Amino acid sequence: MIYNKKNTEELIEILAKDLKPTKRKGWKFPCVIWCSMVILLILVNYYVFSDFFRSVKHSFWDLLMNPIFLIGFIASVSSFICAIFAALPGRNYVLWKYISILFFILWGILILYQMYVHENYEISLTEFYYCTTGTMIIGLILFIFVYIFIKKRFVIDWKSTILGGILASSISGTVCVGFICQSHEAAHIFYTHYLPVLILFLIGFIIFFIKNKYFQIRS
Amino acid sequence: MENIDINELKNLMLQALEGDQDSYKKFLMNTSKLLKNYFYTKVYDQTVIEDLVQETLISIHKAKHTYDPKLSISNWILSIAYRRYVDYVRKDIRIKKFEISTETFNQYASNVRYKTEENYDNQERIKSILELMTEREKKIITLLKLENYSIKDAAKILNLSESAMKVAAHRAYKKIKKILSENDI
Repeated sequence: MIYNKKNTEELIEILAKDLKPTKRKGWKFPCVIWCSMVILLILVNYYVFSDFFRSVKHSFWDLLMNPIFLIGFIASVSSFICAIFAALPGRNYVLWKYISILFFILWGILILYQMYVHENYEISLTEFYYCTTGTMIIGLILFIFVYIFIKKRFVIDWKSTILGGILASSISGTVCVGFICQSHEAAHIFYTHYLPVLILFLIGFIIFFIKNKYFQIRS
Repeated sequence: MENIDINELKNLMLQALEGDQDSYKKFLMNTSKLLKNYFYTKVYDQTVIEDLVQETLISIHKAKHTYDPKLSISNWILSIAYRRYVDYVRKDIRIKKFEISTETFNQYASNVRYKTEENYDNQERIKSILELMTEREKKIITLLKLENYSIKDAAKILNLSESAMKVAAHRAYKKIKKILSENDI
């Protein structure tokens, strides 16, 4: 419904007449859905697609206990919470924004540290294409879900919401692909899993910077 | 400045979520007072304040499903109000960037009018001069001076050599000079 501006009393009358019983939409349900979706995608990737695409299969629990995957998963969930909180007025999303950025940076530092320790800086191009494409596809699917969740709420800060959503979906995408990825070398993880996420995040950031500077973003 | 009971506001909102229109109306009335107080600290223009209050009320109406009773209602209202204020500031900056003051606009408009009148006079003068010339001279002047063709291109159009074109153009200019001095156009 479009509300034409009149005087405030008239507007209040119109809004009051338009009232219907309202069901509250919170953040816990989408968070549970998100975590389950990421775990489901990991399982499907590992148990279904790894048989199709990969001959070498790493132990699932070894992969799960890998700190790189674990930190990636935490970064994904925290950035999703940031996105949802930024779509709920009155919620403190700033804290979650910093938590997700912290874990994202920590993830990068850990990968770089392993690269440095193992002195491994080169990757094969085939793996590069496979992992980046997989990240993009799974990330896009997950981003659609983020978008649906935030649209059903009321976004007050589009920048934090969308950037949180991009980070959450691309990290989840890259973690999912990581479970069926043949190479678990630090250089490979950095170039094909971490870097695409960072690039997507920076693209989103630049788009918002340009939009904020030259166009009005209506919350 | 009126004091607003936050607890009462919360109760009204909870009743409103159940579909109670009277409570919702009271809630919006009290909220509009709260918002007016809030915007008074940020904006000085009364009409802008009224606009911002209305925008925020509409946003509150659209966002009512996001209200969590565990959280402070004033935080919820003011976070929406703050966003509306940020939108207003951005819009204002954009408008001011492209806005022209009335004084500058009037000056610009009078200049345009003066120039348009001057151009019209000149066009009339050129038309009356051309009427006193032969068809060939008219074509030469039109191509070289009105349509801005080069001597080379104009010569090609009229099937003349470049030197013949230059001579013809020189003669046409001389004729214009003569017409201007004789007829006082």
